[in-house]
Amino acid sequence: MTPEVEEETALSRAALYGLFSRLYREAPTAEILDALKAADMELDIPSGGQGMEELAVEFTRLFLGPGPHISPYESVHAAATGQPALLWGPQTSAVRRFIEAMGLSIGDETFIPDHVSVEFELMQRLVEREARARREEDVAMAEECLKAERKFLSEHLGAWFPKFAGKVAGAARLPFYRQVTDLAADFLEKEEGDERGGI
Amino acid sequence: MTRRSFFKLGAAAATLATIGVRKPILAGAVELKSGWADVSLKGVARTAVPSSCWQCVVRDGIIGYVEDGRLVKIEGNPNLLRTSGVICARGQAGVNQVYDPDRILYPMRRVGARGEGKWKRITWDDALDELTARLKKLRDDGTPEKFMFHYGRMKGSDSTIVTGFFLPAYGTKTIGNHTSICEGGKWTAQELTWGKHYDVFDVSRSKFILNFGCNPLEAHTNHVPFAQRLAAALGSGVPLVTFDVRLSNTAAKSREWIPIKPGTDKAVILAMCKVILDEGLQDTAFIETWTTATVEQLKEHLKKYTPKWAEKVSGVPASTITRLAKEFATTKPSVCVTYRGLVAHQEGADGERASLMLEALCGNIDVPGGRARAVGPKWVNSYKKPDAKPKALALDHGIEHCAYPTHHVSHQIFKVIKEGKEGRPDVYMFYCHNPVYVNGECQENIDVMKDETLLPFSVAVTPFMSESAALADLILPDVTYLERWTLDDMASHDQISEWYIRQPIVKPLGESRQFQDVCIDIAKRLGIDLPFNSSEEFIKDGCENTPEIKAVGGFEYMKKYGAWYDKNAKGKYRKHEKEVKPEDLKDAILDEKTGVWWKGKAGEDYTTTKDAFKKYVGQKIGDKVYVGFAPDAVNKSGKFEIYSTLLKMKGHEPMPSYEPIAEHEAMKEGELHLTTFKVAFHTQSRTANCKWLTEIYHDNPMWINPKTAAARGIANGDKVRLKSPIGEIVTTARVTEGIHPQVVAISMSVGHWEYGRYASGKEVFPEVEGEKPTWDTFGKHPNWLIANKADHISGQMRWNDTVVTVEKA
Repeated sequence: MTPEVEEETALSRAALYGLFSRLYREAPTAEILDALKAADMELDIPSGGQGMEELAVEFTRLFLGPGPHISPYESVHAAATGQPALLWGPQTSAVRRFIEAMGLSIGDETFIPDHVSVEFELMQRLVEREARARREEDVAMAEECLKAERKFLSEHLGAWFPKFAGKVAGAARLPFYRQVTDLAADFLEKEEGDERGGI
Repeated sequence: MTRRSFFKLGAAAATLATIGVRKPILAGAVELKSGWADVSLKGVARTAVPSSCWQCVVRDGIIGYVEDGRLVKIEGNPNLLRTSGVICARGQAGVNQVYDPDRILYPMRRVGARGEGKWKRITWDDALDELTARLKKLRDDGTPEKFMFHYGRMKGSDSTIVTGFFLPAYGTKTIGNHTSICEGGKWTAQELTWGKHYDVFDVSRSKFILNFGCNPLEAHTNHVPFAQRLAAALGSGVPLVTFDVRLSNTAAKSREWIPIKPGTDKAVILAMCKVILDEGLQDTAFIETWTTATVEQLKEHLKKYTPKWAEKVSGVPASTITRLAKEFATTKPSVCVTYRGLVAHQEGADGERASLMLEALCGNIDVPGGRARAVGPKWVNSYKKPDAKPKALALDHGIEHCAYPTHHVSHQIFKVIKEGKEGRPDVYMFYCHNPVYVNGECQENIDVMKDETLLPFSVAVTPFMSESAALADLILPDVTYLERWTLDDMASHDQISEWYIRQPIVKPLGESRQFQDVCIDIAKRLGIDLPFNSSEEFIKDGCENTPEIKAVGGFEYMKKYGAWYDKNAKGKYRKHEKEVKPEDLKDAILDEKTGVWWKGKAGEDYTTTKDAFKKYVGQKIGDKVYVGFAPDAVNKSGKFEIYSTLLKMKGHEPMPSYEPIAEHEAMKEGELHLTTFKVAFHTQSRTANCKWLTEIYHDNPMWINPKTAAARGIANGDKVRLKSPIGEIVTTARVTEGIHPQVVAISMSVGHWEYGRYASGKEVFPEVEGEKPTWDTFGKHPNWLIANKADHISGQMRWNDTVVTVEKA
């Protein structure tokens, strides 16, 4: 692969991480829904104001509570045997240390570090950095980024997301978040499976 | 999904980079320093932050240990005399409150029908815009009282900021509380008898302890301070005798457990009083000097209450009553512990008054080792309170014509709203309160909260989705107590003032905000000027303006140590014996009938003049004037009022008297008494979400005596159906000798249908895939069966007057 193709691949991956980060961060805006429609992914995207409202209600139900108590935090899903599923578990502080080891910090403190949206955003930022390294043909840096991506996927996001995705699939009332979450799970699986660390 | 499709989606997603850009959550730029891969936790410091518990009203001093930004452990703060570094299981499980996985972290607005469970996240601005628009309209229309604020637990400066500044400045005094479901009857009784409410059972210095229906080793309004002193007393051999319908853990630790028929404790107390007088064991000097009755009057009044009579009423042998009365009167100092078992009945406040009479006969009032009048700290702030005349809807007096509901009839507020005679609130805001679950008649509570014609707009201020919040229109996410600023002020157990603060151990999670700060924000939006800008500022001001705290270092001292008391101070007892200085009697007049010196106008009658008690100065005893048993809520004299003119005026017996409970008199063959109780691992309603606690205690089977069970063909563990005039539930039977044969008992605290996964069982267990669930029962709430009735003296909820039938389900 040429550096250009490598850069383009990485940017595409970063954009996907960014997309999922936004989808789990808040109820979708019209722009996001338009972009998803443009991608022609056969997603059931409700239209109009009422559709947006329904999605906002579904988002609140699935990811903020009250509802099926899924919780979008790693520590709730990845609690070790005998440990209670709580917010701000040991995983949360591990994720925060990881974020800080990458030179980043939690800028918006209304987010807890192991929120699914934050974890996707971290991956987005790492892959973006990788893309820059590819463009600059800084192979060592690109490999280092890749190493960080793989470490974070295997220790964190990739490890708990399937369990979370299963719960979302089981509890969703509208097809949208089930489909989006299936996509995200599929994407992460490919990311983890790919030797080069990406699609 | 193919690579190709992902690329397509990726390309679409890339366009998002240019439209509708959101501020990233992560700040900074990726920079991988050498050694980045080792992100393990090592050599991290633990920070200790002193603060104050709030799992229950006791508010023990705590220390939160924070490691890597995470609250990892809570212990007791040894700097408090009250608790000496001890906290209970609930206190330690506070970690589970702040980190409850089902906490509400963002404001939410109802979508769809009330209670349908459809919500959407909104911004704080949108939430407060909507709320303040409604509040502004009420104010502009001249009806600010249609904003009702109903709180459950709100103490110290949390209360001062809201009810002392924000609400009066806004203009409403339509304020509800929850005291009638706790111990309002005790407080009213004390206000009628010795003045300002709150008693301390000074067991550290007692030689004999009599207990009527209280379970302090598991739960109490001053639980840890009381329980640790009681445990020490028991350890040193002080006898404890417990009257209870149930073998509570306190009863189990007593020298004697005396099972008693519900609602008849007062009969035993009256008979004990008679024995003491008959035997001449009374403290005549105290009675004749300080009370409103003479020994002769008391003898005359009590003559019908013989131990033999009390035996018939209560089932307690006359010989036991006589023996214990003598022991109580002769083993000095002695103390009589009372709580809901005595008080949560028809005329329950009179039961408390009877117990105070028993103490008075023995000279136990406000003496070391006796029943002491509480001592607490006085915080001083520099701020001037709003000069306002707030208006109120009279929603808090109940529907049953209670004589002196000085602590309100909170459990009947929905009934009053339903009736509509006193008007209805347009905005109903409830804070740290779960009226649907904590009161009786859950179904009626639900029906009222769901009805938009009765409550057009309701606002829940809570960190958790309670049964009541689920029926609100707007939810404002409050912080938990571990993210909060408060000046705290609980009563001492050694009669020594102790100041302590609550400070955030961790930063507020998500968008949760301390409600007091939200009040300041709302006030600003309404153009109301409050003299402080944050709760932290208020706490700092209190620390800098309270002379005792300022002297030791003010705010910085309190942040560092959490608490202060004078280590050289001696406990304050016999406070009534303090003489009033002659200069304080200037401008005061003597009310000849009562002997009260007060600042009334010549010719005014003290007892019948509205709010005369606020002008009380002292009590004439002989030719001296004493501070006496100063009134606090009603126009009583400065004497210890065994004989209460105020009760007589309202058609009640002026002296403690026995009257059978109506429901009990009407009981039919086979019917049983239902009582409720608390356990050591939970508060009444706010802890079932704590995983550590609910893992220990998550089921509340109905206690039933083997004889009673056998008569109904019920075996241990069987499903049983309980029916009352209010409703029915199906639960399981726990067959045990530890309960009176005519009684069944069900504990509080569990049986939630909301309040997150651990309380409600809504999330599928197990937490760890493939493992057996740790527990799979969640209890049955007894309140579906219990009527929201009130004691006609005080308005106290009559928890223990419920009659049920029990059958195998």
